[in-house]
Amino acid sequence: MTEWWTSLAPAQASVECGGKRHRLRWENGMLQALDHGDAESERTLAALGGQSCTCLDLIEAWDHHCDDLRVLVLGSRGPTDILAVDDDVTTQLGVSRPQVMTSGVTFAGSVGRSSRSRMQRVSAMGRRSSGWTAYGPAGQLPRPPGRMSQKARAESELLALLGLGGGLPERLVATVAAAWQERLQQRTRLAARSRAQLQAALHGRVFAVIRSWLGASGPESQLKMIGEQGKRRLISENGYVRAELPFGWVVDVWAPGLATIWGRFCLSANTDDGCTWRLITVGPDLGSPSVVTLQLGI
Amino acid sequence: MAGFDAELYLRTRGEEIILGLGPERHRPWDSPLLEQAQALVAIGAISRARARSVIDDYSLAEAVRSDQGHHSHHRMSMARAPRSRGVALKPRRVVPCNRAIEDSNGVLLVRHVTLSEDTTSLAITWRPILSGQSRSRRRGHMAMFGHGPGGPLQPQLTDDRGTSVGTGFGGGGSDEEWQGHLTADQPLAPDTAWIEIDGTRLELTGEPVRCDIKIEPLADEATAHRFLWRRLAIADFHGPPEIEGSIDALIAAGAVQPDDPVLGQIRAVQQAMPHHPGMSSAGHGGTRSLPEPWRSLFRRQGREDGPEGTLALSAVTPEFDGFSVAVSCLESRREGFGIEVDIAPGLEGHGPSQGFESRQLVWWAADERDNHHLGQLGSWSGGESYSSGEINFWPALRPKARQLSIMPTSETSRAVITVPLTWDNAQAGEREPA
Repeated sequence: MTEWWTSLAPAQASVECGGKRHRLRWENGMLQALDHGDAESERTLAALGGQSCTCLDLIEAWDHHCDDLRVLVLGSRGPTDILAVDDDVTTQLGVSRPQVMTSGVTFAGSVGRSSRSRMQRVSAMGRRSSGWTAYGPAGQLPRPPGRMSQKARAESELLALLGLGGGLPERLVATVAAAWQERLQQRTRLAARSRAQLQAALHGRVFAVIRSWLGASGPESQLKMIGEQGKRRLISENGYVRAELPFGWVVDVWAPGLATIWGRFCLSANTDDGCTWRLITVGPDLGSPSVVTLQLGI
Repeated sequence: MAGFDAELYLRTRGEEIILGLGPERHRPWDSPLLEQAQALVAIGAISRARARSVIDDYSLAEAVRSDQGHHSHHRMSMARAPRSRGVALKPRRVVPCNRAIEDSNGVLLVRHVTLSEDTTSLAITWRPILSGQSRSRRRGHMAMFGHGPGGPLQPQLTDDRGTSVGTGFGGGGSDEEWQGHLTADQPLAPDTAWIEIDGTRLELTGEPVRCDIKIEPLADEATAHRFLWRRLAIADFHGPPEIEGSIDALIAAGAVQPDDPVLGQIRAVQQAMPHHPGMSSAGHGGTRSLPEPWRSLFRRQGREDGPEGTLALSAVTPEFDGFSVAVSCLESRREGFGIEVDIAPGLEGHGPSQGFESRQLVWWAADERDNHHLGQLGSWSGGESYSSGEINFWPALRPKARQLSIMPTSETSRAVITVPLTWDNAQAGEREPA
């Protein structure tokens, strides 16, 4: 079994941080602040000086929202769905900037270095995480009272993340989708309660693809969200395009940009080694599926 | 509704909006999902909080895709406030006057005076004397707290205790005539025997008309039908209420069938609704086949033969469906009539979005011959515990109407406030030089 991020290429954006352009890089499921070697110390120093560090704020925001279902609502449905978010993340974070308590809080581990912590907590439902701990676990550390409500602050953080560019917003969507794919597979109560949100997220992305693939004036469409192991189908039925796909399609197919290939709609994408991909695809006639094999490498 | 997932329905509609397949946004301050959400909440298919959460999600999703950014979303979010219980309403003292006071600036007609422990206001018509060159037909609607329309209209009021206060004008009109209210900066004594307006004394001698008040349950009706009929009766800023979204949602939920004949009636009424009260019907078909109370509503639509006068009322309803209403004044004009009311608990916002955040009253009225009138919120102020303002009804009262039942109507019951229309002492305006 491969990790969910295997099919996702690294992504990188630069942000204004402390008067310089700094790099944020997503790779192998983690967001890293490349220009902050000792993030914990920098964060502490910045907090003591009443300053902020955009890179670390964004890492923290990413950690807060890595399983936030609103990311799936707000995030792009595909190349034709372009967000008009202000890409000045410092502006976005300026009103929502997380503040670090300067006393009474002990930071542990490699503070602020990357964002996989919460994902790993999610993953830890099934297996132990690797012991990495992010600073300020979401919603657990006390925050100084601010003028913004918690909801407004979270909203501003989201907008900052979605305005990052460089492919990072798409990786955030993939991260959130992967977290919920896992919860669905584990049949958690939370996943059951969130089924409408998950199905809507799948619906929007499936039909954004179908709309541009078959044309904007294509026939009516219906979606049935099936279990992860169910049989995936895209058929024509009574004049409707009927899709039967699991939520995991968002992670496995949509997020890597494999939703259409060679003019065909991709139902699934699997790999055993991360190099050779076996795609089950359907042509525009919605006929029988055909296999497309992709080979990554020289 | 077995098997129907209202949240999924709303979210799927939200996805269609994001993909550009959803309904057009008719009101920039409202989500296109509001219509469906209201309907689904009304039939109990989804909780108000859950529906609000969906609307919030997709409002922000729309906002991050629009050039206008997050403005409208934030405005919606900020508009909400926790609800509180209403207060016990007390009748206001309303004294009809119809006194015209003329000076070098123009003629001030004081139609009636309203006094209570927390406010003093005068319903006025102001006709400024214009220089020949400066006349225009500009119209407007504004609250003025400096110079009034057409000149300095901010007279000082004095009561019989010797208290003097300034005033501010709020209202609308043209250069030739403004109608509205002068509100005192501080309340005068509610039981004052007279007030002086810049030295001109008005004796406050009129007595309120006695009203009969009763509470009655509404007739049994399918919840979906009741919701749609109520929806039609709640005014929108941009013409007839949009109800097709609601109908689609109710059909999807199985609350109505697509071939339900009542839907045909509802759509016919919607088609016949005027774009603005007093205007001609929007529809092209006849209105004789419409059900009551709508048929009689449309029959006199556009008529401008209503009696002119003001009745001081002193009516406070018992609580019905959690509401209490005090009606303090009925003022009839040729083109319609209005009432001044207090409502507890207070109303938030305006129009259909307000209906989502808090419960609304539908304002019906009917004369002794079952000619119906529909009321809409006019100017409005207040807070969570109570609100005060005007309800403007259309069409105009029938000239020979002798009795009017004002019916603030909630979801399951209504108050019926029956007013004898005795215009005898309320018709003529007495003009007196200042």
